[in-house]
Amino acid sequence: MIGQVTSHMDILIVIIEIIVALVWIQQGIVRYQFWEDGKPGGGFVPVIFASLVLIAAVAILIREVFSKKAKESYTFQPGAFVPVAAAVLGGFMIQVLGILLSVFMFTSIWMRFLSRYSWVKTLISSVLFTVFIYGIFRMWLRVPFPNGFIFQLF
Amino acid sequence: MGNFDLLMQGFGTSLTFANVLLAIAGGFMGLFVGAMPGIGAVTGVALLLPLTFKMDPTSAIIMLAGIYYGNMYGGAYSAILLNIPGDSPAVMTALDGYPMSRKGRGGKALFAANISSFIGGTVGIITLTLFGPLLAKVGLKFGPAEIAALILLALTSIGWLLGEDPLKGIVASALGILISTIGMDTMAGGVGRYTFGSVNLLSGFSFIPLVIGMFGLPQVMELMAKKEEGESLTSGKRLTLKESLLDKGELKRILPTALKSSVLGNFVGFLPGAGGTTGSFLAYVLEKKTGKNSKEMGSGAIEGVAASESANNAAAVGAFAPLLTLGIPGSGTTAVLLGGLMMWGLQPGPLLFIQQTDFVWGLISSMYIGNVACILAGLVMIPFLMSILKIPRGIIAPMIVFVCIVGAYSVNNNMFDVWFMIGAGVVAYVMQKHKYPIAPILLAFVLAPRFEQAIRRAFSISNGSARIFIEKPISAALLAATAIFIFAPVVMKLVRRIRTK
Repeated sequence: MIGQVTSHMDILIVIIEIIVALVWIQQGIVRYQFWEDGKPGGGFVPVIFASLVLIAAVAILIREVFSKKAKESYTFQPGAFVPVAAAVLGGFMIQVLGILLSVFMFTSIWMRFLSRYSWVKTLISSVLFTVFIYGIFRMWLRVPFPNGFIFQLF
Repeated sequence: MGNFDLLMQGFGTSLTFANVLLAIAGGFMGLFVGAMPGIGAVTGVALLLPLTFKMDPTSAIIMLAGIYYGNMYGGAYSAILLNIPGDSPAVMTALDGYPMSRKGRGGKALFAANISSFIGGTVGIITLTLFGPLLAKVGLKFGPAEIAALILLALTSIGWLLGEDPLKGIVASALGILISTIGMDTMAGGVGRYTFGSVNLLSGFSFIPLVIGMFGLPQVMELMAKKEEGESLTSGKRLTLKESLLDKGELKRILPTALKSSVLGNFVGFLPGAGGTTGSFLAYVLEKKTGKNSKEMGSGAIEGVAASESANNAAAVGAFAPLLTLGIPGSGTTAVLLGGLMMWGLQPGPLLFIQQTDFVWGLISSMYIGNVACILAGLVMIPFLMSILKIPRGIIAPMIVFVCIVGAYSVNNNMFDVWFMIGAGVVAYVMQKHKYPIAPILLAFVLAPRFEQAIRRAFSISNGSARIFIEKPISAALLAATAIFIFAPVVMKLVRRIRTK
């Protein structure tokens, strides 16, 4: 939806916070023990801070519901989620194609089709960036990148 | 022989042309690796440590000092340029450094970071030279109860000071603590906690994917959302290299802040287990509370960069006092460094300053060389770093996204961290849009395990009695400060209301 996102989202966030806090408190007391053998158990710190989340979240909820002040809103921009979709795609590409091909294709596709650069500029930048990533992370710092599902077939 | 004479003797052996070159080379490499998102100081030092294996001990220690300092300096660069802190103390640097970059003042932020790091490092080394063994003894007075109280003070102030809404700040900090509780509970013999049956969650979430996700990805999301606003990372007029040099007024602004923060950061560094993150955070809080430009902080104040960077570097040196005299590393990086130094014959302990004078003063003198080498290397790198800001958005955006992916992957070499990083990015973006501050989540995430360990140890020592926190004067004073910190704004508000009525 493109448009004004109102305080409904604020309330949804607060409800999620309350649920998380309740789960942490329940698990902390029942499973990990708040206090055992005369000293704090594994649930001690989580229960205290989950209770803090709960109290603060309820206070925010009350404020949101009863506040007479005009609610602030922001415009939802679908473009903001392009990098997220690209990152997910990039993650899958690494698993399938391995790092070298992925970094090259990822940068090329983005630059050519999203940023609309010329093929020459796209290819030069992509090659340079691929060399940078491979040189620094793989060769110098020896990060063992996955080879890619496709290359493992051969 | 006095400390000064011993130091001069140390310089006598370490100050050769070849060693200075090695220090500069170590500084460059440390800066570069420290600035790489996903690598961080601990991994950086560990990765570069083997380079020193074939050297003679003096040269090896000098190069190690350069690498160590370089890492400390470098953590700030990606925080300032890309809003991706290279290490945890740089989270505070990003708060003002990145807004400065967005306003076209990235070069000034880089200069301020370098100069403040140098000041922090220098104050730290001088203090270590003069009072190292003495301060290590003071640090020993900080047991679990005192450390817990100190971190509680830091944790309490996070929520109140960062962001527009204190309630949302509290929620953010507490959520950071809850995230940190996922994984093995080491104090309960390695039992899994809040893993909900997932094997991937057994080792908990790593800091690097979290910080890359919460700072780096939302940054690109924001860039893509505001497509119409400018072409590069910065908005408004971009300063040239010459214009980016700090003028007299700016130097006057950062000097007192850097000095004050260095002293505080250095002291926190001396405390075993407190670390540079606590130091840089407390220095930032102090500046926000007492500084002249406190209102500007968080939106691009040069003092914010100075406070964080000077305290971080001073704490990094401070950590050497417990490391050398007690064998207690103050951070993960110093733990790796300790391994390297022990390989060269260091035997940490209370008698180190008496029995191994040559070694210890050689090491301290190499810190001076390393610090000078790093500021030189840092200043040389600024023009190159500034050119990153000129890269058009259409080119830099896919590169940042891919560096985020590779950075997250390289921490544990698994894709789970990549998916977690993306998820953290989306959550952070939505939270930011709804006025939740993000920095408290990260800071609480870093500080919480130390806090939990300290508080549970304190209770174990006292057989479950909370009196241990009140009976000890240091922890009692810190708890009182925490209480004042929490209640002072509320009381002040009430007083103001009563007065206006």
